[in-house]
Amino acid sequence: MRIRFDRGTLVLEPDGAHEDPSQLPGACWDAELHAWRAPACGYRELAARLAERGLAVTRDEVRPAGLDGGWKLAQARWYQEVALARWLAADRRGVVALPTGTGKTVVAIAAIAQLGVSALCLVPTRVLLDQWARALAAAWPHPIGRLGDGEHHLAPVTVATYTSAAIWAQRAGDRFGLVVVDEAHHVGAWCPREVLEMLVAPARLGLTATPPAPGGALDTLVGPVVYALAVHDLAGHALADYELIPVPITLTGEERLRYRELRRRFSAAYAAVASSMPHLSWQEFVSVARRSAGGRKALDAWRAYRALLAYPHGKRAALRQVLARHATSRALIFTGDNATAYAIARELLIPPITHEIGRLEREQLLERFRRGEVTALVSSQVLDEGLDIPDADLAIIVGGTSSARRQVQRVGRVLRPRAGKRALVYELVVEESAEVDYVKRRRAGLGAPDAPDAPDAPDADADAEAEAKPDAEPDAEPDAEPDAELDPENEPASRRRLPRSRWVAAVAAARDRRAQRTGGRP
Amino acid sequence: MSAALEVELFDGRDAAWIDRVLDVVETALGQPWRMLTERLDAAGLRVPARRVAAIVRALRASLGGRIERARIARMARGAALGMPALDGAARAARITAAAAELGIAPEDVDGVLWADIAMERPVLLPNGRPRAADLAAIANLDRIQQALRRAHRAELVVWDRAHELVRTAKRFGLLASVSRRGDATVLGVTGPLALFRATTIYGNALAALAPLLIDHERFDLDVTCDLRTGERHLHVAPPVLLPSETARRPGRRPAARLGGELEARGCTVEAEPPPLASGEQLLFPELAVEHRGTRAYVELVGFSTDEYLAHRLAQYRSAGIDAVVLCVDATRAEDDGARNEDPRVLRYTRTRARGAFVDPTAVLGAIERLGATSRPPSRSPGAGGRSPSRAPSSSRRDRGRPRCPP
Repeated sequence: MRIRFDRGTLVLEPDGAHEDPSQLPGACWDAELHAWRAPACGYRELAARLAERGLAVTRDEVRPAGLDGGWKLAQARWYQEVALARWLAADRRGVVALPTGTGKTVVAIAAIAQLGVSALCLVPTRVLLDQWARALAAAWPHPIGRLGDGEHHLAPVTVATYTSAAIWAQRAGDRFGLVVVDEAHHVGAWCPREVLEMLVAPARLGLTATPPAPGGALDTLVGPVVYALAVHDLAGHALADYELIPVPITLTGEERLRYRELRRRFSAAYAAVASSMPHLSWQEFVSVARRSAGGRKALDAWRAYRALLAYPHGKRAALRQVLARHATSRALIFTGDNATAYAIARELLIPPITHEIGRLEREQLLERFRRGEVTALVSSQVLDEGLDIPDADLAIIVGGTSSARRQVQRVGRVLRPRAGKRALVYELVVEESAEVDYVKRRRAGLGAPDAPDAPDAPDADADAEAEAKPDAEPDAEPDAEPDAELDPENEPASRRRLPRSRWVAAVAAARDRRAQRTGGRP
Repeated sequence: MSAALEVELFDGRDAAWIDRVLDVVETALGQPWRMLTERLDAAGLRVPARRVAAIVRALRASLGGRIERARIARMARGAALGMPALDGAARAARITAAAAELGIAPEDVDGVLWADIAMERPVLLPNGRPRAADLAAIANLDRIQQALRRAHRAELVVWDRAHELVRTAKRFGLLASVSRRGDATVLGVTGPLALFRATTIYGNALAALAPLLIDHERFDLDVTCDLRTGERHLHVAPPVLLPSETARRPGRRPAARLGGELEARGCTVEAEPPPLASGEQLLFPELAVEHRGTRAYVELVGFSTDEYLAHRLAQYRSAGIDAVVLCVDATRAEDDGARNEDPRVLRYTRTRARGAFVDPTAVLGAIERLGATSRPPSRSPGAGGRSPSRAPSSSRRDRGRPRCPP
């Protein structure tokens, strides 16, 4: 039997009539190519089945390369050693779940070194692509491949964004013996399951701070959780200690009235649907609601009160107070959506880090943050995961969903250990609103038995909100965002004068036109 | 049978309300896009919000200037953003300093700071007010492509030249079966992984076929989509308003390069000859080459197995063609030399610098050998083969304006 790789699948060519590929697991006839195909991810099982039947593989073109030596591995901590041992014992497949900032990358690099086979590391964002490539280059004195962020270089050890991997797995899915999936809880969503289906790699390691429930795509394509620790297992030891400080926010009278009205409109519509279809998921509710004018109005009301809670007057004031109180701290400000992140950036002239900010600019901002030239960054999701900011010691959670996973990731941003460090996490919560319930639910992810209570009791119809599962909103920020950094020019500060541009001219023209229309009134 | 998916496309009847959208856009010039969205919500257009949103998306796509805007915004942010400006005075001082540095008025700083951020950037129409028909055409293409991105299989029927479609499908690594149905060409497109289960991983590749529809006066596009609510079926046929210049047509392809080099060696070369009928299937050779009295067809093959090559040669034979040269990608072909001794099969190489390179000398050698062993085929295929009529393509003539329904 010959086994070859083609476009993310295996092509099986029998050497004789006695070899019948149709009996092999997953084999399927391709009428176009006139050949038998099997899923690439089934390679290990296929090889085992052929061996069982005593069939020789006369030509196996999917044999991942070995790696040269020269590894310089960091000294592993006790839990990293245990994690690696558990993964090896689980037949080199499975997920290691460790809190953010505890060195999951170290476990992965040790696994690559131990196996000594070509490896592909899948990461969600371009920021993580850089971080992984740097970490691997520090540990292994050979070129590291990069797929993503405009680079297409394959090497025995390669880092790829999920998006690029979806393209490249079809071409290079047979080159790797090990696949490492960072932020593995995204498998099946942000990281399409097809990426892992098109990879031959028999060994698979998933890394996450927040493993999803078993039985999903991650389980099938990478393996079960083989080792897990929570934040409170390591706080004060491998992680910095932290204090969670709830800041109750009161809506102004006008905001309160508007919130109640919007909330009433939504709850009435939701209750009407829920009473007739009690087991409706959030997506199903949205689908049903979109079909009627009343339903659409209810969804509009839902969006409107969420926007109101995202950044009311009280949060604006509280944010300024916290920043003033901790003027020397390095602060990460987390918002529930990009609009709020930009609103804060606009008001306080703080740099935002969102998926719309290009790589080059992000790198410059992070460098300025490290140097202390910038002491605060604001983001809705990009700062949640995987950003390496060792000096951040203040997190201000202005808004978010009830996602416990996201809360773990956010708090983890400021827990990288430093001698004497005690991180502060401020959480701004609008009293007597649906947000109180969100906060309660998301705190559960920290696993801390003594997490402070939410500031106030939830309002009467928070249960309906809980049922509404707002977390089901799309939360992934694809790394296929516009490549704003395509222009690599990096102007020094002394030469920042804007170029002649139709866009700059159009801004001035629009301003003049507006002034004419309004008679100069702002 | 899957349920039908209705994709509401735009046509001339939508021009009036699209013009009203553009009126609202003009009132929001200089304001952030999110404010335009609010104004449109309040405008009472009596059109479903999703249709308005599609036109707004088309408007944004038509503006362009992404790289330029990003550069301007990055410079502005570098000048204006930094430490938190916790009071009005600190903020005003920072804005004034940034404006001086950037060489613009302080009131314009906010406009350029967010020039690359989708909902924050100011609404600007630097090229003037677009035509409603142009926006409708862009929105139609976007809608068809959205459906294709959720598709795991597509069938496209065209009544004129299908070469570009076939080659685009090949270039994206799709599995494309090409057959005849009456005087039409039927292209069934999917991907290898889709043989095992319904997958949308080929959605972007399938979506790349949509802009090519402008080349065809008459077509039928059938798409099987995988939506959250289950499998759905979409049918698109003319009249459809489509933009004329959106297809990404590749530059000089290996076949075109080979054709040029063969012509330079004195051969008569016909690029993209009419397809050849082999039973129900159609064959799309890249070139027809006449060399020293022998007319031979040349086809570039990507991944192949021995069985596939034998099958392909049999298909040509069934079409009445013996003189054919299959150029096989050496990096993706079976490299057991003992198996491929057929003189009609050549290997070509692929290098990083040059891409795919087919040696013209080897092709000429193969054609000479074929000429020595078989009678030269006539210009028109033999009894088993038939060339469908070659309808003129409208694409070149019609570029520059959207095709409007009658």
